[in-house]
Amino acid sequence: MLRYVIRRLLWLIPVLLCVSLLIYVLMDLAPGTVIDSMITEQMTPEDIEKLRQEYDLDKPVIYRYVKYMWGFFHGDLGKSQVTGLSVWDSFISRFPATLKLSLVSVVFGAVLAIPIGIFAAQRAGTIWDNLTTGFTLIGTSMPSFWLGLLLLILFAYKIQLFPAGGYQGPSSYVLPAITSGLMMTAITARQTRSSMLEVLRADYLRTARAKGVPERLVIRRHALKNAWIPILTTIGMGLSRFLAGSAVIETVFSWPGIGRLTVEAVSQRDVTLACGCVIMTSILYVIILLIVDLLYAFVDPRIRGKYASGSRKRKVTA
Amino acid sequence: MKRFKLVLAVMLCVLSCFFFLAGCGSDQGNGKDSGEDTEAGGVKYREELDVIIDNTKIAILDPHSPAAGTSSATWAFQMIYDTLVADLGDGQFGPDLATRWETEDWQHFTFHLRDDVYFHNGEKLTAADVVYTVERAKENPGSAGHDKLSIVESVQAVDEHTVEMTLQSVNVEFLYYISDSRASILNQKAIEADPEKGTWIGTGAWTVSDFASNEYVVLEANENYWGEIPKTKKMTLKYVAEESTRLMQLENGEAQVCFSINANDYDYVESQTDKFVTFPFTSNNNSYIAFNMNDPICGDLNFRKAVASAIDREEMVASAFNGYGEVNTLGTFWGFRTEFKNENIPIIPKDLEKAKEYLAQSNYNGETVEIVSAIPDLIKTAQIVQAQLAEIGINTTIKETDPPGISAYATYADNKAQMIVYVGGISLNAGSTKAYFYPYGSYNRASYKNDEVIALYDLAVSQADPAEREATYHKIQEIVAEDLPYINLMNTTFLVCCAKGVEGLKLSNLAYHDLTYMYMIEE
Amino acid sequence: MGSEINDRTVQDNKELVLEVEDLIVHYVLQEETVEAVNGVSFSLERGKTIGLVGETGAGKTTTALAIMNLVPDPPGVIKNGTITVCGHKMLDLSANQLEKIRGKDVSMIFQDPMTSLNPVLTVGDQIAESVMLHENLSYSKAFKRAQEMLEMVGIPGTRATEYPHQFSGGMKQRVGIAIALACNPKLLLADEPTTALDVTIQAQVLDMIDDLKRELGTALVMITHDLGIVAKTCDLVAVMYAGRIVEYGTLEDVFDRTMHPYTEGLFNSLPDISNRKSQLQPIPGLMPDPTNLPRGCAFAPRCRYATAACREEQPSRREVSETHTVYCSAYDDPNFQIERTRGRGGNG
Ligand SMILES: Nc1ncnc2c1ncn2[C@@H]1O[C@H](COP(=O)(O)OP(=O)(O)OP(=O)(O)O)[C@@H](O)[C@H]1O
Ligand SMILES: [Mg+2]
Repeated sequence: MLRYVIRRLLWLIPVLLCVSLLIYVLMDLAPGTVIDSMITEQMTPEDIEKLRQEYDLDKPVIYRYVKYMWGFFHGDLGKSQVTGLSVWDSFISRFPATLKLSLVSVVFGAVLAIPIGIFAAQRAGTIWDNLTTGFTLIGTSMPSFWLGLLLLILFAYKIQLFPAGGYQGPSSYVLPAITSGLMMTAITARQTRSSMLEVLRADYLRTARAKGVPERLVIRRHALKNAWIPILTTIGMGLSRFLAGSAVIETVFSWPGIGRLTVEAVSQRDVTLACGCVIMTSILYVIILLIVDLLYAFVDPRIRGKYASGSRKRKVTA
Repeated sequence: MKRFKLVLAVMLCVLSCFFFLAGCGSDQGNGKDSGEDTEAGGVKYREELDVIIDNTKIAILDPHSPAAGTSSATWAFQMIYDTLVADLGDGQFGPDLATRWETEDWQHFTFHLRDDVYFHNGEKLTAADVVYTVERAKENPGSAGHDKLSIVESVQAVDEHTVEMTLQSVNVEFLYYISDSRASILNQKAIEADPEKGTWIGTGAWTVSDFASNEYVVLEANENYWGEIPKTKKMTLKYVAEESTRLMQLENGEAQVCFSINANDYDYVESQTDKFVTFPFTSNNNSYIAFNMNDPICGDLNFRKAVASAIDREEMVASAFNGYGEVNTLGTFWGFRTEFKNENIPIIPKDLEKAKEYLAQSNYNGETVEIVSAIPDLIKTAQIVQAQLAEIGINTTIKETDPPGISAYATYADNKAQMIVYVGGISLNAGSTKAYFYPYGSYNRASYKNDEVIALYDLAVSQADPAEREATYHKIQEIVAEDLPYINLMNTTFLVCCAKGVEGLKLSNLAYHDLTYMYMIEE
Repeated sequence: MGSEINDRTVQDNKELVLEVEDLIVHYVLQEETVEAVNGVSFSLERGKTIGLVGETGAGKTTTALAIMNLVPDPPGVIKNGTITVCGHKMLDLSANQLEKIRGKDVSMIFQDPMTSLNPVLTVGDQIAESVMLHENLSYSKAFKRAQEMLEMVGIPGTRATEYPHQFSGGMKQRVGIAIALACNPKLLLADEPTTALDVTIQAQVLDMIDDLKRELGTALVMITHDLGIVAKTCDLVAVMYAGRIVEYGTLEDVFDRTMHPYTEGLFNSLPDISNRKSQLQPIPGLMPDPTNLPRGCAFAPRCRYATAACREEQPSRREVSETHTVYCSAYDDPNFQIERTRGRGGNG
């Protein structure tokens, strides 16, 4: 098990090298550099040249990349090129906003999605199933930008029930969480439905019913437990996607999280900050998927058996 | 039974969300429902104001950072810090942290500081802080603070409250520089203790209680301020990325002031006189056409004159800016509020016949000329230019990019553009126009170089007599009017939209607005 | 509610644990309808065993599921019939009432042990579950009972905390038996409980079921196509073909006084150990497609005695004795005898 975790974590290294190189090269290809927004009308040519040298802009991109990654592998995420503040501090100061919204969205999404998915699976082929399928289709295909604005117009402008933006009290979570959670709900509900459909045909449910297990327990204890793995995967993917910070949702709702931080970093050509954000979110992504993988073992004893191979106390039957 | 289950699940979900949120607490700690009032002499002032700033954002609270060059950063700086002298307008300066100052030759200055000023951390303001500030600014090239203070050759504290500065050379504009909020006085001890947040400490009327880069800064009135204490208790300057929600926030009370309402909503906001008050200000920033002087086509004066005769500024104001702008009537490229503007130079009138004549004499032969532009309003302007040029037979294409893209495209040394339609900052101070006309000037998108102009700029800063300086700057304007590297188009009028009752806002044509004493009277 | 019915009906039918009357079950699919069970009737007394024999697809499992009222719906539809288990009309009960009867009065050992156990629950929990449900025991007591049940089927009680994938196929089948027997049901439906097992284990399991039956007085429906098992365990035999019972009687009736040509065919297809040289005589042809049953006797196309009338009309019912019934029109001819009886020199 530990070996497995370590192996998975080692995979992070090539992943991080790839994403960081990608972001460096892409941002180098974009027109403009970080110093462009710093130039003022009173600067002399010498000042500008000095700035260029300070940011190594007179050297090739690969030099800057290697320099940055060298620092990174020595535990230094660097300093924002624009503000000069530590990238790590910037990331950490913004992370709570994204984390809280992500958790609320995931909880909202999952808590709604699982009953919907089960409901649809139990009524597969009926009008109810078609209705929920329609809902999930709308949910997955609706652009969140558009949905967010729609909710804003309705609930912040017309009814003025929730704030139109900002990261404040509980009420400010509602609209962004619905916007991002709805997509999550739709995807998870669809996944729940299909994996429940598969499980609902299983023989062991018939065994459970033959024992006189009430239908609600048949679903909850016997079926859902077997359907968990794909559902968990979907939720885990959703969570890690949210944690990367949805630039769109954070922009629409003025949410000061990682998504906004990254967008601003890219638009200001702040390569170190952008790269730092991407690296951190990649790490989170890999770790969450790893946790989900490990959760499989809790849900499914067969997988647990695989991890525990060797150390299992195996008794021989008489 | 099953329906009941579903309902229960939904209720549980909502409940758990709320419990979770209740635990989260308030992070920014403001909101429309918490804005109570202070009562004074029968007039009730709203305690909290939320201000939606313009698109320039506040990246960092440090006047010596290269990222602090934005206009909205200056709003925060003016609230948090104080400068040595105050700009009273029309070339006049009054006391601020310095009660008085002396200079004989515009090179050696002595400032006498107030002795009742304390920083937000409780430290007393001393001459050492001024020395520290100047030296720190000089060490940070690329920052606006550096721009203002790098001409100081040496600075020393004579005693606790007296500072002497010597400039590298005579500069009659020095007081103007140090009245800028980016030349504000910082606290040595605070910055040395915490390099990142130490710069949040000033002597100003407002203290910083929370800040998120490019998102918001939360300010609280400084009850121990040495000057007048603001009527408002708390002010949040926030950036709202999504343009369409700004008006919503204004309407539902999440913001009381907005500097960046979409121009399409101006008419609506102005018509709602029972809800809103509006304050217009016209920016000193010029939108312009720049020609790459090294380009075979654009480098030809006849071509540039043809363009100048073909364009119709009125149409640009009307269709790209819904009428919210002023046609720039100067015959040269200069800020319309910038000192020493030369109003005697005639503007080239629209005359299509003339334009065609110029074009015939030019070396333009039907090539397609590329116009680079960025920002929606200016891209719209570029499209109008394109249509107007088509009337005299100039073919153009428009290349859209973003602001950093413009800078990358057209630098003095490596100019990849042919024509650029963009907007540029020009401050009230005449010397700032150098950025457009000096070789390697930071805004010199025309790659313009004229030795006579260079000499005149160098002359002007040494001329203590305003009349002499005026003559020099007028001469510069005449030369660039003839060379025509830029055609100025218009100045945008912005509407600051406020909830009814907002007053005390001091607007600036440079967008360096002063919000320090802004307040809102509640009915 | 359940107990009310219980009180009233138990007195009426003291001896009969199971009564199936004219059961018809179809699987209605999109394009076709599978006529899986077409009018099955039989009954079973306390402590007795009935063997349901027949080829694959004859409708044995479907009949058993119908007894539990567990025919998967959709596609299964119980078109007709009454089923009485310990006095409960299974087909008329609400879901709630059914849950109280299943696992307690009647339980079932399923055909495929590999898929019948829930892979994510420990076997102990799976056994304990029905104990908790029906006997209102605490978890720890129920779990202890589960361990006892495991011991009873020959698995160490300590393995109750393991999961099905840690068990062999035969052990899984025993777990299935333990689950079915956990609450001492009055009626046990054993659907081919031994097909997944090797021969030695088969015998053990059969012995075990037999012991339990004797100990607990359970009535048993033994579904199998193995006539040897029937001979070993059953008191009554019902031979099914294409969803119908073709011959019904005591073990002796069916084995020694075989009447139906299909039953005869089944015996002929068994290897004869005493006469190794004799040829196996499998029944020629295949069972008719249950979506498209012939108009007349379903066995007629494969029956060597079949007449034109057999193909046209449903076979007539003939009560040979008080316990022995056969469905075959050939006996309309009073002189008709199948070869098996002919060889033994006469009928009865
Ligand atoms: N869920 C179902 N959907 C459609 N048809 C089914 C279903 N279950 C069974 N059938 C059909 O019903 C008929 C009877 O099936 P059943 O399982 O009762 O046979 P069986 O006698 O138990 O056979 P075996 O000895 O192979 O177990 C078969 O033709 C089968 O294909
Ligand atoms: Mg079967």
